[in-house]
Amino acid sequence: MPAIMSHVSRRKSILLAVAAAVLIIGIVGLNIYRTRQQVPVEVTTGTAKMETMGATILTSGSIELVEKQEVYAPSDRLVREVPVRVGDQVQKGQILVALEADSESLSLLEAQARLAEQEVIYQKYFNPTAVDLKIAEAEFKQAQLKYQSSLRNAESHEKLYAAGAVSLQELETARSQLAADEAAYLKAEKEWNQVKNGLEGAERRSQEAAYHRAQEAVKLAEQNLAQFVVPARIDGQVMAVEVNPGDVTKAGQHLVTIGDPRRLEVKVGIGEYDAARVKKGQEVLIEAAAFPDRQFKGQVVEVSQKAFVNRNTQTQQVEIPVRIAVDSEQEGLLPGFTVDVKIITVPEKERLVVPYEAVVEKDGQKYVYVVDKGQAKQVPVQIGLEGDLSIEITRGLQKGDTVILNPPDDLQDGQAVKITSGQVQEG
Amino acid sequence: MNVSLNNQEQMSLGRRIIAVFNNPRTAFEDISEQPRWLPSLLIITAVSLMAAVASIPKIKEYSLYTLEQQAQIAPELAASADLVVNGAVAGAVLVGLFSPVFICLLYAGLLKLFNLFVGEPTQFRRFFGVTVYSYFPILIATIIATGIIMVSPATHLEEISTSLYILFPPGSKGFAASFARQIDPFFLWSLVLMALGSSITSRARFDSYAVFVLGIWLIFALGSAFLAQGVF
Repeated sequence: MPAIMSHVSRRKSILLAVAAAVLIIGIVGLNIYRTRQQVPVEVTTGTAKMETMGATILTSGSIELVEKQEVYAPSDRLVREVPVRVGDQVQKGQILVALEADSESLSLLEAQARLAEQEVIYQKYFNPTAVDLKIAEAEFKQAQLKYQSSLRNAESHEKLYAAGAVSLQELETARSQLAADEAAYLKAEKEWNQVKNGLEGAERRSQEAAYHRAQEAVKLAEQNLAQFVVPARIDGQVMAVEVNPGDVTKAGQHLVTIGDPRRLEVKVGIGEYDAARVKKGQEVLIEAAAFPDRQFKGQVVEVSQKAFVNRNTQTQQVEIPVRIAVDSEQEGLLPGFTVDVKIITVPEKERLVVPYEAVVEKDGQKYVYVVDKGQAKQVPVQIGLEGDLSIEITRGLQKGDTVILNPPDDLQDGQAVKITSGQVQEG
Repeated sequence: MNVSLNNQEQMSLGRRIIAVFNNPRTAFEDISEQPRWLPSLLIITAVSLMAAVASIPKIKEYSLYTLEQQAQIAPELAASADLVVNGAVAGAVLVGLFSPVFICLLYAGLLKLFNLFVGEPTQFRRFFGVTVYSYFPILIATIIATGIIMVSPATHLEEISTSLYILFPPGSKGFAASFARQIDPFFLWSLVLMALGSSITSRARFDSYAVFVLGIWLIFALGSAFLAQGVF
């Protein structure tokens, strides 16, 4: 019996040992087999999808009149007349405001009178009429005859004096008269020649200068007067009137503003990093706080070729001025409104996009890893527009492709991947 | 090999250890008489520590690999590479050094607690002796795992296991895979030995201690699997 028990125990031990060996071999074998297999890399994914995308630059500015005239008081003056009111349409030359300007008015009249005088003289010498010629000739002949008469008279008095028929005083009177008539004759001859042939040399230059000087004097007098009796320099609408007749202005005080309310513009400053993207002719969308539900349209009309430092900000930003014309068809905006401006540098359209995190770059080439049957497939792509959160893919992907976000640096083409659940992001 | 117990003849250390595998009942009867757990505990601790030390190169490599993966998302982690690696190595050594005694103490305590309700009152040191000698199957699993670690790429360190997890594809996540990680035949073998040894030591039914010990394990395994899913 003990022998049988011993045999059974030995057999049991052997069976146990075999079972343990099989277990151990199986465990070791399975582990080694599994280590030869790739451990799928856990990745988060997104989807390539179509999205309306464009590129814009946001900035702000204020509405201004394209063309305007602002009238300021040149000095302390009494306001005589304000013939316009806000909203009136005015034409060029129409008086906007008249301040007290008696001395300036008188100065203008004097200057005009002198100009008129010079014009007569100028015309006589530079563009004489037939009448001028006849008058000059007549005056010459008259002077000539008078001189000849005086000459004969003087000769006669010489003979009579020699004969003792006249006194010395009479002779000298005749001589004196002869001299005066001779001078007049010469003068008339010269005048006649000048009218007939025109002025020459220094006299010509002097007369021309006098004429021009008279013209300039009139202009100056007009300008002086215009400070006080202000005409409109443009056709437009009266936008603001800040004085009334009888008011006394102070020097520099704003009086009247006119402009064309249909021609508005916005002046904005864009950063130097955006400057290359803004071009003349680009569409602009304008929003004003006064019209929260409306969008106005405009167009870039000028991009400055020089940058300026904006010292209004604490950081002194470099800005490039841009002028934007507001479409004249749109009503509602008023000068002075602060507006938000969106410059459309690239028009919106449907584009294939993926999240930014999907695109990687290696050796100058952009790639995206697409999940294909549980494996990462490296796909070279071409990128286009870059948005805030996504980037356009112009070549390499199709709509619906599952792309890996933030792929590990050592992710290989063809490597097994496992999508982490609950973290899929849309493009 | 049969071992006949003589009340006057105690088993040697070696025979006890062997008997734990091929004749556990006899082994635990001897252990219940004279626990003499210290030599076994020293052996277990020494082997566990040696296994941890042998794994240090792979642990370092794996720590750096993991850090590189995480640094792609949080670059600031790269600055703490040395700290992380040294921490991982220190952790492995400490686990190797103290985990055997901790597990044995823990289960001895639980068994002693259960003994308040089941079986004859038994001293704690006897239960501790049972748990120490029951640890040897776990030690075998440790040795096997260490051997596999040393011949496998460090990047697969997390995949090496002696549990039913090896039946799942590499990188498997989920409740099933997490629960399978807890089903280690060597560990279950140890639990069965603990139940047997406790029932012999306290002269109680094996079924009672088996249900208790395996019940504790099941609760722990399910809890771990759920935690791995982030349910709590």
